[in-house]
Formats: sequence, structure tokens, C-alpha cells
Amino acid sequence: MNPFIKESGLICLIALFLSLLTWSFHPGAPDYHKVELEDGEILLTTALQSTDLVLWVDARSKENFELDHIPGAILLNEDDWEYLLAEFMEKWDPDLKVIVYCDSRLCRASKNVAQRLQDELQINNIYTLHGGWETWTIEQKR
Amino acid sequence: MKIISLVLIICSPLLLQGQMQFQEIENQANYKFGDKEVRRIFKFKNDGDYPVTFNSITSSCGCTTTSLDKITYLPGEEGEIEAIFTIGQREGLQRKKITVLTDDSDNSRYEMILEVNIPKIAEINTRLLYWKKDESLDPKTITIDFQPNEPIKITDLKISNDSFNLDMDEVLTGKKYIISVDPGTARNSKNGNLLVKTDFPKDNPKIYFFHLRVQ
Repeated sequence: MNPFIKESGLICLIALFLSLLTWSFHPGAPDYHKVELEDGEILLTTALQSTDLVLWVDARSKENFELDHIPGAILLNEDDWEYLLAEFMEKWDPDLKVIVYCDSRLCRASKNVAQRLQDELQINNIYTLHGGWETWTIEQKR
Repeated sequence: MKIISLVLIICSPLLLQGQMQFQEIENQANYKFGDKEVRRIFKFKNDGDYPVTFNSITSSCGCTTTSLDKITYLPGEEGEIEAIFTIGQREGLQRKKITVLTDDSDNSRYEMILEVNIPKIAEINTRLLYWKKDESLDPKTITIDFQPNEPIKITDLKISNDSFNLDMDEVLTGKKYIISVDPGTARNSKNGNLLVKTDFPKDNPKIYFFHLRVQ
């Protein structure tokens, strides 16, 4: 084999080995799997691992809610805010962690509903589910 | 040859503009109090030299539906997408994304925004009156400050639990109301719902919900 190719290959292998070593053990190495969460968002895994009691709030349309929803979730969207807010309050308790979800990462309904709950009721402990219903269904198929 | 290839690589993004030309990709709809929906038109033209077929039009919110006269547009042909946004009981600035997918190989995806600003009919200090376990049972107040210029009347107060006593004061005629809620003196856990009915807008008067709870 051409000594030039041989040496180049060796240098590349050493460089690859060292970079993998750095990526594995360096404390400041970037985490490529880390999910960027928006303000007030929570990951499904975090929510499921939490010992807090959770009140799931479905901010999707009534039709989608009736097709399927997270077990125990209640419907609260801005189509019929006043009526649904009354139903929400029947289930709400200050010790509950409220997690609102909508269709997917792209929808804003969960953010709007969470914001209105904070503004209108002045209650805390409200989160939105990162990835929404889409993430929930993917997790259920695993 | 190298120069031609270089020019093609640099210019390729410019060539991939697609045939469908939309007049506006952001459309602001006007809203007036009482509207149940707002409609906006997104006009487009097939500026290319082959037919384009719409595969799908989707919205980021179930509250926004769209309609199209037909799905295939010949070169030079114009058309429009009508977007209908259902207000429901939404408030504030609403931005709904409409995504259009076509079979155009140059650029099959277009995104448009329908923006509607829905002003609040009333500024309300809180929807929840909550007396915690260690809190004294003093009366709490709800302030309702109507925003429209015309006077608005509160026509009815309906409470689900009579052990809460209500007292309403019209601070500014047709504009500002203060409702005082007295939970009584008995220290027992209870809750109730309060419905405040108004006479505005005339054809679909607004009703506000409040929750009262003593822990």
C-alpha cells in the first residue's frame, strides 16, 4: 500500500479515536440528544417520572378529544372557554401539577391555554407538554 | 465547464422558487366585537408553464378551516384560498399558520399566516377566589372593567352555592363593576361557581365564569 495513504489513514484513525474519547468523557461536551425546551415546557419522560399528581389538560378540539386523549385528561380549549373552565375548576386542586397539551410541537393552543390559566386564575404549577399528543402517541407505541 | 457548474450551484436556490405566486403570505383580518368568525382571502397565480395541483392545505389550529374552488391550476390561471377563523372564546393576538402542499417539483410547500387581534371585552382581576386553610374568611372582590366604549350591563349573577354572599357595585356606569364575595364565617371547606351574565354583544351576550373555594 502507498505509504502516504497508510499514514493518512492512521492519522485519521487516531484523530477519530481521540475525538470520540473527548466526546465521551469531556464534562463540557455538547449533548446532541438534548431537547431545547421553551419556557414552561415539560418533557413527557419528566412528567411520567414525577411523583407529583398531574392534571392533564387537553387543549385540542372537542372532536379530537373525543376520539382519544391521555387517560384522565380533561378538555379545555378556547372554543368554549367559559364552560370548559368551570369543568376544569371542578377537577383542579392547588397540589396538582397541571400539564396542558395540544396536537404537536407546532401547535400553540397549549401555550395559549396555559397562559390564560396563569393570567385569569393566578395559579402556578402549570406546564405545557413538549411535543404534545404526537409525542404521547409515539411513546405509547414503544 | 467549471464556471458553468459554479454558476448553476450558486443560482440553484433562485431557480427553485416554484410556480405559485401568492399576493400576500401574511394576512391581517379585522375583528369587531361580536363576530363569530373572520374570513380572509389568499390570492395566487400559477406563473409557471405547467399545471400545478394542490395536494393539501392544513392549518396549525383546528379553529381555522380553508376552502379552494378547485385543485388544479393551469399556467396563467388565478385562484384564491379562503381561510375562515372561528373566534370561539379566544382573546388577544392570534397567528394561525396555513401550510399549502402542491405537486410543483420546484417548490411544493408554501406557508401563510392569518393574523387576527381579538381585544378583550373586559379586564378582570381574577376568575378564582380562593380562601386558603390558614387565611381569614374576609370578603374578596372581583373587578370587571369593560373595554368597549358603549355601556355594558351586568344582567344577572347566578351562584351555585348560597352560602356565599354577593354584593355588586356599579362603580362606573356601564363600565366598571366590583363584586364582593363573602364566604361566611363557618370554617368548612366548600366551593361554588358564579356566572356573571352581560348584555354585550347584543346577539351573543358574554357570560363570565368564576370559581369560589374555601379550603
